[in-house]
Amino acid sequence: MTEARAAILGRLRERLGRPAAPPERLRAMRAEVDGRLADPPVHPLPARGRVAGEATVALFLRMAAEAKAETARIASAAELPEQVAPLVRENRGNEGLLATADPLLDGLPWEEAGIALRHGRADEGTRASIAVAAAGIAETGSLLLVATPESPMSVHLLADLHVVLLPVSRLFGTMEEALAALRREVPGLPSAAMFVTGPSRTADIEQQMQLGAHGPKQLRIYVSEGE
Amino acid sequence: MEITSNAFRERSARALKDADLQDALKNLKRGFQEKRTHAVARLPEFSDLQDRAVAIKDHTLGLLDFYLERFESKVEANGVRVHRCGTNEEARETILSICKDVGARTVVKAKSMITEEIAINDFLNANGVEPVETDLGEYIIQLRKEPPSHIIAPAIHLKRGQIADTFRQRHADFSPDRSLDAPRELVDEARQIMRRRFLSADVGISGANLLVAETGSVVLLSNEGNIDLARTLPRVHIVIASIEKIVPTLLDASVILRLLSRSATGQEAATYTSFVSGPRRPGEVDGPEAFHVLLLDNGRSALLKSEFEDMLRCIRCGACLNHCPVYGVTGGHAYGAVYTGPMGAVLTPLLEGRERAVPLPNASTFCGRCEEVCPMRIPLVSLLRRLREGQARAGSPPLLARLSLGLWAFCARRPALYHGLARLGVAFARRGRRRGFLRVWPRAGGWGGRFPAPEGTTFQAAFRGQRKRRP
Repeated sequence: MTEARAAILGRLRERLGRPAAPPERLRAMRAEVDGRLADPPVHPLPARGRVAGEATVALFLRMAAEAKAETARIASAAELPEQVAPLVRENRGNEGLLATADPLLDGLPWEEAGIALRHGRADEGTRASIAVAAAGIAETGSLLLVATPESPMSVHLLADLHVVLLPVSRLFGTMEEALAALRREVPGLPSAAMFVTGPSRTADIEQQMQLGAHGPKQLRIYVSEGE
Repeated sequence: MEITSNAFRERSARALKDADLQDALKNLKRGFQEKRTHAVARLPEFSDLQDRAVAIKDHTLGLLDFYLERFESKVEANGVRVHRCGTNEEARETILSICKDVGARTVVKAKSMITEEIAINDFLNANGVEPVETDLGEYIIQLRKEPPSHIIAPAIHLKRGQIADTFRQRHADFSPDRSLDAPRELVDEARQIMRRRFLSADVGISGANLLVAETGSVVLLSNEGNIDLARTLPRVHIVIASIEKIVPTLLDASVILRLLSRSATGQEAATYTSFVSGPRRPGEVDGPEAFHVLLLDNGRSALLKSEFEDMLRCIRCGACLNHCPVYGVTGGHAYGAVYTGPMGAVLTPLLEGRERAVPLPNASTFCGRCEEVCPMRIPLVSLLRRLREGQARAGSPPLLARLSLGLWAFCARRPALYHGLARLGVAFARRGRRRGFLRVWPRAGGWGGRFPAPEGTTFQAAFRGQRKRRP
């Protein structure tokens, strides 16, 4: 295997004319690469994503709806149990709601609303799940969901109904801004950072779009004013 | 898959007579072309982003040896095992040995063209490991034992009735009386089957849309969510990517992502865009415990600094297939290769050998729509022409073709002679005209034997006439 490693690098260097390059030229190239990685050039962001304040929320709601997500605005997370209960009951039986462990969800009156809240990873029986987004992106109506010990990725992928809470304070114009904010919190990046734009879908049969190919069939986003 | 591109002529002739295929291919226009046009029109910066993306890729390719080293050290620091593979055989052996090491019996696969390129499925099957395709289109063609006919819509050549027949034959556990008329019913059945597959598989395999040197991340796009399930649920994950997928930074990746989904399906963003940076971390309860990245060369390095280097910018969006008049009537299987359409007509001879894909550079009208829609501004027509020139130098076109082209070139360099002959030809053709079509025309079989007769005079004469009317 080490042979293959050296061989590929050798072929690349050969093709790129490195063997003939003087050492100071090679040093300059490596410095160029390291410089660009350390201080990346910033590309202009599309005008659509350069929004602020209420316009950001409006754009997010519009784009998320276009991607076939259901959206609603609530004053605070405290409204969630009452809002979510009928969805969980009507559509998915009463097998409980799988949730990521998050301070925004944990203290809410779920039992009073008739919902049994569970934590952990999802399995074959998971029908409904709820999570809190790390960020929202107005340009495309996307949610950023991040793997942590409290937030297993399977929670976002196996349920039929996926409910996501997005506090307005976590809404950004573009993916670039959301990633920058994430990296300020988690140096490097988490093991998985997933941008989700609408429910799972496929057009593999006669180019007709069907929701719920392997992931959620229904994505419901609550944008809350307060944290 | 076995490359059978040299049978393009026979396969495309068969494709033209296949009514189901012709019906299915009509969906290209509605499904892809119109959506792409709409999505591009909604992003006024699209063309600027294209310029940026081309500059990013060209910069990276020029320093690929250094970026490769930086990507590898980052991804290893994230706890990932890196394997460099020069050839398809090495890649297959590496994947098999990872599977054997963990005693894997089944592998769930995300749709990935590079796994088609290395033909991993047959190899795993032959060695006692069952590969299961999880992308719906890819799963359908796996059941039918067919290769994909499109790089992002592998089952685009099929109609729903054909898919329903396949499901009835292969899904023995389901009631034979069930209805499978609606696409919804087909999707639900596949979803149900795939659930168990995801949850019981030992290993997940995916390709990569981009590799980010700055963070050692793998970028994965899907609409179905199958890639993220294949990555999250099994205890081992293997990513296989070719070396030219590297981009320097997350900001660079964002530029290319804005082009990719719009060009591919006309979406503002893929439903799932994941930046994956290694195995599960302490305390996490899902995600793979072991994470491998295979970096495959298989002929890419030989294209650097060659007259075909532009092809290394390709991001596999499929726009050139969706807009190609040849692909639009032959479908993908006629190409007899992993990569089809215009990008496949360039890439197949380069990766598999010129002699194994002689007809492909000629399977183009040179209309240039592929170039027009290519987000990475790859000059596909020029690249195809260079391949044809190479064939001409090697003397591979048949004698008759070379003689006729020589004769045409002789006349074209002598305007007076050319115009005289053109006028004569038109006058002659008009005499033979019956109800607007010529009955007899040499070698017009490909036109269904009905070659339209010239309506008026020669193009040159008509052009002169029009200039006189509207100076």
